[in-house]
Amino acid sequence: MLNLLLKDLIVQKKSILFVFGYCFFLVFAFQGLEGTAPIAATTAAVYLLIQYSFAHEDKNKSEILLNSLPISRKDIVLAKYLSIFLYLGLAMVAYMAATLIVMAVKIPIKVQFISLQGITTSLFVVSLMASAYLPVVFKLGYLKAKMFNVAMFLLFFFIPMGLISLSQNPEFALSLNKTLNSFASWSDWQIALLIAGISLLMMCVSYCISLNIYNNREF
Amino acid sequence: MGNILEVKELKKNFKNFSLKDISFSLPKGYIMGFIGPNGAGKSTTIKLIMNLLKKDGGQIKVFGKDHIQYEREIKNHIGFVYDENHFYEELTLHEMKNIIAPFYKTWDENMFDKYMKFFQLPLNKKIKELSKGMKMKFSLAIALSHNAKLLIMDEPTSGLDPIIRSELLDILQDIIQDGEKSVFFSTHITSDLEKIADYITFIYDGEIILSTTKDDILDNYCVVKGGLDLLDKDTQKAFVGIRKNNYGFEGLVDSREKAQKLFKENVVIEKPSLEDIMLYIVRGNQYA
Repeated sequence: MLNLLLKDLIVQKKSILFVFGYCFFLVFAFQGLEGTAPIAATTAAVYLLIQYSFAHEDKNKSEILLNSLPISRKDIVLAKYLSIFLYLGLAMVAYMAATLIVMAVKIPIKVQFISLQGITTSLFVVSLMASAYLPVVFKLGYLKAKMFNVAMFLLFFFIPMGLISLSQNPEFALSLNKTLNSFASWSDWQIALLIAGISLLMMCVSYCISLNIYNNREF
Repeated sequence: MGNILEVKELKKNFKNFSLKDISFSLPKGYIMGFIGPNGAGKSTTIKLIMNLLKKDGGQIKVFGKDHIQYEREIKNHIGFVYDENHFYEELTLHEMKNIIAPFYKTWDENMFDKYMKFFQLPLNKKIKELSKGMKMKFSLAIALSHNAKLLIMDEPTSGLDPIIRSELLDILQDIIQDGEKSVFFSTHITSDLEKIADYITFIYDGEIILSTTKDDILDNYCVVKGGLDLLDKDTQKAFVGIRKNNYGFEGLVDSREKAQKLFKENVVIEKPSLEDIMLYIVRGNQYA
């Protein structure tokens, strides 16, 4: 398993460097996003790394190589899921490094740091994205999954916009307030754990679907 | 003498092609050449053995074990070379080796270094900068560096120059000397097989046409040449395939004895090459 994770890092070493640079750029680009810049930046970085990871396999048809080695299909699928957390960690380190550099050289922009809320929200968004995308890419391969990819990308833009406009509806706002109030007595850590639990559950369900698909895949 | 590879009534159906209950076996310590024209089912068979394709029926046993139930254990002892390379092109040979080596329990770094030197491969060069022949050599170096008991090769000599091809054949002959290892080798270049193969399996249109020792084939089959006056409806039936022109005929018969009995001293009987056998069987009477 560790070998498969290392493999993804070695194959993507250039992409990882690019993502570090990209995070630096996003610190500037997302400074207007009040409170959500770290979430948007880390999610975008993870999205790119997932894409690059599958693009590398597809470009070289390397799944034929991997499936001819003494590696189980279960490990190949699991490694892709575990690598999401690795990418998220890397993206957060990259974002934090970028914010620290901006502060150290005193560039006059508004820097937003990653908070506990930011970490859990990023984890949730990334898990949601990966849980939806990975079964599709395991089924269709990177190239054919591109259409789904575009649709998913658009959804990630339109769903938050839709929710914002929905929240202007008084009935929805009231029921949302009620739901949120029921968590008012919870500590930040408790809420973070709940979101992390939901994220893990989504990933587990998605992993089972992907494994079933990949076990029947032909090369 | 145990079989290292056993394929029994293997079936695979595609939209426009089917593998029809094919069976053959490769004993330990021998080289089997797997021949057939393009689209005959060679790569499909190899992919089924490697579980890259799912079989629709039949049984595949490697080292006496089911190839799916014991997949990881079996693959640990298989070295493979495919007609295309599937390495990560952006990596150097050294990086690629570092990715592959830890997956094999019996990886032998000294042996890998030996083959890299022998094939004159530069460790620090990126895979995308290598020629097709060099990529194939790297693939071979990987396949030969983990003490594999079975080498499965799909067109390994395509893209290699005659010198390296000949060296590869020597290596293959060398590695089966201990009687413990076997090689399953698909190729179009049948002259390679005449040099090293002990067994020949010939597949055509998803069916096994013959699977036996090379000596059996070359001793029994013969090319018969003679005048057109010797041919009639009955004598023509003796031929697996026949080619006629204005001066006479040339055809393949599956039994030297039968040809001698039928034509006596009136024809020239020659030993065929594997290529002759493949061509006559595939073309049949299309030449006529």
